[in-house]
Amino acid sequence: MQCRFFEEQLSNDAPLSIEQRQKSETHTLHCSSCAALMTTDEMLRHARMLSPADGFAARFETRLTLWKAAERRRKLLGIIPFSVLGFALLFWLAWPYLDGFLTWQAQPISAWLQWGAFLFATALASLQASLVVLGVLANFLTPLIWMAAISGAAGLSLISSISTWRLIRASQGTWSR
Amino acid sequence: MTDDLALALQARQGSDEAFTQLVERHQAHVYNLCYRMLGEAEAAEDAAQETFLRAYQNLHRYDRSRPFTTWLLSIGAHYCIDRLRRRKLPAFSMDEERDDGTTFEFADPASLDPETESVEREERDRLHRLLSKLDATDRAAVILRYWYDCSEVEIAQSLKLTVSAVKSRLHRSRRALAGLWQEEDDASIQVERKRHAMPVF
Repeated sequence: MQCRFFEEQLSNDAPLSIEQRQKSETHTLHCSSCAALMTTDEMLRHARMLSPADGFAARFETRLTLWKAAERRRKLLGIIPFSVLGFALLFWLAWPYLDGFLTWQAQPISAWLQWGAFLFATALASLQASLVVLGVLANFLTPLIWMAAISGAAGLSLISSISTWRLIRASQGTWSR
Repeated sequence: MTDDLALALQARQGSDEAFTQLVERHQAHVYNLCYRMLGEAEAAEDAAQETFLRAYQNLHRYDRSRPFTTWLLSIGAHYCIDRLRRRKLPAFSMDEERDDGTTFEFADPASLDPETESVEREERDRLHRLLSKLDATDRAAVILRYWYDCSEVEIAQSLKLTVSAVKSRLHRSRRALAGLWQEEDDASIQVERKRHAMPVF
């Protein structure tokens, strides 16, 4: 047997016949390079599979979470400069028109702004006052009284809704006694 | 539809649980590949995790006609090849495998005899040392062939090579490994002779 045939047999995955095997073994007794080839091939074929330390999947999950957070940060940091730049460009382009509009409509705009600020402040104050009152009342009223009060309010709302509905229908002439 | 494919499709739709299951299924395959390529437990762990991360990032590119394992191993092999090329100097330390406790091998009931185990371990270390002397791509081809029973076509797909290139690389690698094996054998015989030739003997 020649070395070339031996190598071909080795790289071929098909199982060897008894005769082929005997020929190979005889060949390797006389050919040291083919013997080394066979030894390394045997070693590689019987090499074992290594496994990672316990908790690999958990460590990967942590890494994935960190990567996701970094990715979100990176995206956000990418969006902010572009958004700022975009708004600045828009503002710069719109400024001549905006300036003209503001000069022309200065009084109405300031009135609307004042009205908006008044509404906002009133709503905020009402909310805070309600929270204080509710906070104080909660300590005085029993759950039964709360239930009665809420039911009463709901009933009043229902009556009010029905009255409004009937009033609307009456004004349109569709309602009759 | 295989389980892997079903899980990969679920993961592609945003299910992290499905991807975790894939990690649990393939962690040994990927880790073994990285360890055989890089030769260090710590580097192998890092590379295996990076492989899974890259797979997660590129799930939309996964071609469902290919087995998921092959696709994953392809990512791992490419990553390790890049890493070895960046590193240039291969740093192999087989001691880490046993000393730091992060790596273990599946128990082989056939080799419970300590002496046999010791001989086997020595031969394994030697093989690993020889493997580290191969070029990164050749090493990946050998690992995919012998540890994962990949066909030449699958190796070619995984490493983006032609089938003939894979054949030639495998042939060259086998020859190189055998040559190195012989060299080491010759060197050890010479050392033995020198020891016996010393006056004390």
